[in-house]
Amino acid sequence: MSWRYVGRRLVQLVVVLLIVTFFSFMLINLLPGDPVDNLCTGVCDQEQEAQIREELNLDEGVVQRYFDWLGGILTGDFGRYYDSGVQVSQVLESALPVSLQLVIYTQIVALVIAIPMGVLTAYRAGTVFDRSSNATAFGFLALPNYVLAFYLISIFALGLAWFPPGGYVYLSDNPIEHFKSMFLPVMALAAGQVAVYMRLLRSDMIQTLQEDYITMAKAKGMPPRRVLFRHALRPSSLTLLTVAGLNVGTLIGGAVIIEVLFELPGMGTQIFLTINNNEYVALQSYIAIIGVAYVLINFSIDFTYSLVDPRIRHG
Amino acid sequence: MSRQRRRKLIEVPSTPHMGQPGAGPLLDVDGVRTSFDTARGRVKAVDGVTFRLERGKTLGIVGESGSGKSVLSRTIMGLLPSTATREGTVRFEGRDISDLSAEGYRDLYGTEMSMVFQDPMTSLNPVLRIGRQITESLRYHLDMDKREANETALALLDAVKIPEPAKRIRSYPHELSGGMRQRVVIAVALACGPKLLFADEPTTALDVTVQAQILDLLAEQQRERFMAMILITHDLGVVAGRADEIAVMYAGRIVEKAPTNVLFSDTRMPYTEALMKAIPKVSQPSHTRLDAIGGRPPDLINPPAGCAFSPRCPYAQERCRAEPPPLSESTRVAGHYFACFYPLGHDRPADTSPVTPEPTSGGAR
Amino acid sequence: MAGSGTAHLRPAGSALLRVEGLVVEFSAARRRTVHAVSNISFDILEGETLGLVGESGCGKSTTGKAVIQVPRPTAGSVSLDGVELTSLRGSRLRQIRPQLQMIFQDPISSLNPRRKVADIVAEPLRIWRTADADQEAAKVEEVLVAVGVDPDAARDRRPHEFSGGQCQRISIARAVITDPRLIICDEPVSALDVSVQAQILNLLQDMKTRYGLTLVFIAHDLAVVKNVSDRVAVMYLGKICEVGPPDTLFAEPAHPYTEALISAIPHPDPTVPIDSGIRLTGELPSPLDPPSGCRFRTRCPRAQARCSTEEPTARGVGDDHFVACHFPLLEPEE
Ligand SMILES: Nc1ncnc2c1ncn2[C@@H]1O[C@H](COP(=O)(O)OP(=O)(O)OP(=O)(O)O)[C@@H](O)[C@H]1O
Ligand SMILES: Nc1ncnc2c1ncn2[C@@H]1O[C@H](COP(=O)(O)OP(=O)(O)OP(=O)(O)O)[C@@H](O)[C@H]1O
Ligand code: SF4
Ligand code: SF4
Ligand SMILES: [Mg+2]
Ligand SMILES: [Mg+2]
Repeated sequence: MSWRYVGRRLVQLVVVLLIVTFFSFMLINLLPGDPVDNLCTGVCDQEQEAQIREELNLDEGVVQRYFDWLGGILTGDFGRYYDSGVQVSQVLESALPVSLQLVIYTQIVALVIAIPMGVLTAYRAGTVFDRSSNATAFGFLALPNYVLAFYLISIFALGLAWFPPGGYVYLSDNPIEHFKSMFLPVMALAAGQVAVYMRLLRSDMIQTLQEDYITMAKAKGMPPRRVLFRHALRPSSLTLLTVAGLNVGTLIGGAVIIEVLFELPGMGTQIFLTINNNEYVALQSYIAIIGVAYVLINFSIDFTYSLVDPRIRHG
Repeated sequence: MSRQRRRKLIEVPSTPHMGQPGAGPLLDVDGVRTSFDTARGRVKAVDGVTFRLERGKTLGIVGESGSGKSVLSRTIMGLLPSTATREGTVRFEGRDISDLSAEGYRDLYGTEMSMVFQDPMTSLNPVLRIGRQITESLRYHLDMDKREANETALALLDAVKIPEPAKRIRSYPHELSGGMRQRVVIAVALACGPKLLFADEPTTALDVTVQAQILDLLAEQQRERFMAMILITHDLGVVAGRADEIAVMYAGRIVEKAPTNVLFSDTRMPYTEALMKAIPKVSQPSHTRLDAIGGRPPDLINPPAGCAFSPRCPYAQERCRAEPPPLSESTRVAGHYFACFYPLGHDRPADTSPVTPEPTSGGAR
Repeated sequence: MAGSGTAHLRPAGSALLRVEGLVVEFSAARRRTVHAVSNISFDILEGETLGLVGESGCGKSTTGKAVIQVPRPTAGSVSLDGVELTSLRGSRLRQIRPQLQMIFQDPISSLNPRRKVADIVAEPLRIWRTADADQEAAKVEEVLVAVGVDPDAARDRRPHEFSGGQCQRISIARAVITDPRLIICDEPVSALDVSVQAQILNLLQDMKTRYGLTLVFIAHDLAVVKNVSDRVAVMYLGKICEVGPPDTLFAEPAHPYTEALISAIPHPDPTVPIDSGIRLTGELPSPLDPPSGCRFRTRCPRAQARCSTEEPTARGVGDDHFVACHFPLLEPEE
């Protein structure tokens, strides 16, 4: 990988990030009506209105305002809540880790289940095992995650009381309780992902298993497990990798509902609250942050391709 | 065979594994049939093949595309897909291996038999370093430790004449040329000192100059290791100077089999003759008209009744279309087998003057 | 030729196709250049078959495509019957296209799978609407019969319903339907079985006689090239090494590379001993960075200091036999 390539990609990255943040920023301006009216929902007095106008710099041009806002974000000033006056950055500090944990755990659980399932269903393609796994996976995919969440809560939390029905425990406070509190939300989110990842890997794997080098590995006397996981998995996982990155978006969307349902104090809950309370300044920061995270994740996945497949050389 | 014993055998890979005194042939294939169930019907890819191969010898299998060469070798090696049905027996060193389980075959691979595939571009794993692809079987089958396996891999790369093996061992396949990759494939196949090597069109994807190098290499390694080889090709030229015996396949059967010299000097089966005549040869002056074989190979789902070559055979008679000719030994030369009612040469009945085959007509397959 | 030079060209105006100083380069990653074809010259007389041989990647296909101007060569001249093709643009070039046809290696994938055989074969005619529907149907029928495909059985079918050999016949029918001056056959029999290969080679010979075709025949199988060609050009890494009539060239190669190629041919005759004396060693150099001087010098058993500094040019070594080598196997003529 040449430095020139890295440099070029970084320039691209910066451009994409500018675009993403710009569109997040434009959110307020794109809402119909006057931003001040939207924020006040008709209950501000003149003074408050003037203050909002001042804070949003509404008298400046859009581009100027964007760069002011961006400059703020870069220095850690994400604005504040109108209602309470709380700094958005404070809320972020506590909410972001919760959501990151949720998304990361979900991806890990989904992949840990989907990879062996994908490999095995490919290896046993067409058998009863393959067909029943596929049917089950599809069932989970068809089930919206909030419906699944209700089932999980009512069976495992309310019924069996194995897991708490909601709430969040910090990892540093009590690791066991932490994982217990995250278990059901992660499962609710992961179920649909498992189905997607498993299907993807299965179809790529089936193709790979037709390759000569797989026959050659068999003819070397390698046992099936080694053939599947050493020889066939890596060349089959490029699509999975790409989709796993792109899917972070879907996951974040799903996380909003799940966080609210399970009372997790993450970004999803915050977004839900800001929308409910017309806290547009906070909302635009949250959306910008999610957008940036999404871009960064997919950007770093590009670099992992060449680790998975040495033929992909960035030149 | 236990890992321990196998390891013993291998420690000196270039010593001949001479068979026990009085032991039979290395490979004994008897009445092997393989068919595939497809949407169109049952494809009889291999239709009753019988032959023996002695230790250290080379059998060339020649035939056109679809004649069943690859399926035959995969049948012997137990590498068939699950859609295949097989019959007949295969004995390796006297042991019946036709009903081995997958594990049973795995014990044979590498140390007893191994395979070199046609296309070096696709037969190496693109995401693994070539060193790893060689050491893998050394470590698995011969229980070598990492260092030992690496040293053996270096020695193997050197044996297959890869320049700068120490550097190349860390390369990925795509960093090597086709010829180099095929050398790596050969190194992989030779790693655990097999007694029998299947080379399925090992040079078809390569240039003539590289082809010659690879065939020289195979011959050299075979001599050094006293290894038997089944060399599969569609090119009579490739096996002419390099095989002890040649079997010609047509529509899933062996139609003629003889020691190499005999096959060329005393061809009995009309298809073999036609194949030889159809090839352009550098020894002929340019613009020599080729004797093309009319028509094309039969459909293996509905093969013609009788001799499969009868629709294209210039000597076909009534009988050829009614019953299939058995593969029988020549009365003139021991070890020369052919499947033809009216073979070439002087014991052909006088009334069998050649008839013109049907002209090629257009139309679907 | 593995050098340049034009000594082997026939007098100007006598050849149907004359290619001079042809250069084709492609740009590669990191601003590097693939020197696919580097300053080669050749010509073809009307009715002649020129065989182009050489190892994979030596630039045979690139040369063939440069002749029909797809893509247009980087430099050099290609003239058909005195018309300079490299300077033709747009419709003037399209007008001349029917006179140049190409047949490819993979018979099945070079035909559009969704179209019927009759449409595929008639297509070159339709581009210029040179015929009305009746004439067109008659012409399609004529060429299909000529290539040995039953028009009534084939007309309404699609390529995948045919075997490789049949598809190659259809490709040939499509190529001859415009009465072209020149057909470039790029490995037309490499994907076919020996028995079918012989049918197609014979067919090409018949078509040549019947339609008075001029052919460039590209192949890597030397025996095939020898069989079909009137003149053979041996290529190595974007250069022409040797040109001559096939019988002479195969009997008495003058270039060390030709000799090595010929000695590597496997003979379908066990009484011919395997000649492992002359084996090329080393790897084919990369066309990104070809050797200086003679491009074959890194693998040439006869190479000397001069070979790395000075590029050899074509010289006569016999009747219509030319070689580009400083130290050829045959004594050069003065
Ligand atoms: N998995 C399969 N399913 C169905 N038919 C098959 C399968 N494998 C091979 N065949 C058929 O079996 C016949 C013999 O195939 P095989 O690959 O042995 O030919 P071959 O002699 O090796 O030809 P080639 O020179 O093209 O490699 C062909 O008609 C082929 O279509
Ligand atoms: N479009 C292209 N872009 C870049 N490089 C190319 C392109 N086409 C051909 N080349 C390179 O040019 C060289 C000559 O290629 P060409 O296809 O002409 O070889 P060839 O003699 O026809 O080989 P083969 O026998 O494999 O068909 C090769 O190194 C090839 O990689
Ligand atoms: S048996 Fe009959 S048809 Fe078959 S090869 Fe012999 S003569 Fe020809
Ligand atoms: S002798 Fe010199 S000029 Fe002739 S082919 Fe060899 S390297 Fe090239
Ligand atoms: Mg095969
Ligand atoms: Mg080509």
